[in-house]
Amino acid sequence: MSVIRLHDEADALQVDLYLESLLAARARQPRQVEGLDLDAEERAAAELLAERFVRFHPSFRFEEALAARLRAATGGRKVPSAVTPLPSAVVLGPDDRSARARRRVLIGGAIASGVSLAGAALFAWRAASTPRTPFGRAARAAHHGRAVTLRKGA
Amino acid sequence: MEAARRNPLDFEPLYRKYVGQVYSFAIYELRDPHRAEDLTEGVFLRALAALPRFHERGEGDGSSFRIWLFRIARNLVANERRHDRRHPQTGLDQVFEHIATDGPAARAEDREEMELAWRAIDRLPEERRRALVLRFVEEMSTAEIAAILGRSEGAVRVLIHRALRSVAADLQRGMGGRR
Repeated sequence: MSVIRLHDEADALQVDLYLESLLAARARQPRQVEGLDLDAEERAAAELLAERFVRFHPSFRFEEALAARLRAATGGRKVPSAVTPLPSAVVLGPDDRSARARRRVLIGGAIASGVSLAGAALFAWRAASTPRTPFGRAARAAHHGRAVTLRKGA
Repeated sequence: MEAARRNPLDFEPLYRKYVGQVYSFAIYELRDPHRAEDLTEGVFLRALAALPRFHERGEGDGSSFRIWLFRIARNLVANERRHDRRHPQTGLDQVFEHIATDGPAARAEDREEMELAWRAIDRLPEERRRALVLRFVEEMSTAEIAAILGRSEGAVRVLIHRALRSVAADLQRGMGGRR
């Protein structure tokens, strides 16, 4: 391995450590990470990306339509030919890392804090609860070890 | 995960957990909300069909399911890229329209910075851009990104560092141009 490459990897490791701290701190207050010899412009770029690269979430209607299609596929029910394209209003998404729940998310074309929305509660409830719809119960009862049935081309 | 593999009806919690991440990845890759929806749909339908062949090798944040899901997404994006070569690619303006802030003037700065960041990564080679998105948007570890991109962890760290260096230089030029 060449000296240049080793130097490159050492620098990359420093950047990696910095990004780890930066992203971990995003849910709390941004803070300076000490002890890393990092270029000021690279640091500023990382902070801008961490701040401005928000996570998008599909519209509620799209999410539900696809969920229904997946349920139909697992239950062997007739699958719609395609999920109808719907307007993509972006809503708060459930983040699998609760510590980062306060990150910015894009909601209906605007940026807002995740915890401030009732939608978060709705999603959390939905994620935690088991399906209670008549179809869900019927599909579960009918399933009993049936293999995945997915129409060709789906 | 094991429950979903044994019983596909248990797939829904996994879908709910990852749908936002996959959709978001698709938006950053394709820049078009409708195509992102199509890709998200394709990813989950393929994952569901292939679920019996998947074997979990981790738990929680270290779950290999997310890696597997993003590999499917990456392959579908590659198919889309082939399509893009035959058809004009969606411009960034469509993304900005999608994420347009409709608030007061205070948000104009937000939008400007967001556009600056998007334009900076837009000029990066595909793999560097993808690595940055997985790191910053999906908040994946270097190990996860390496598994998705099929590279070593060291290579991914270098990839991200070089990408960040390019973005930094680009931002400097952009900010200099605005002064």
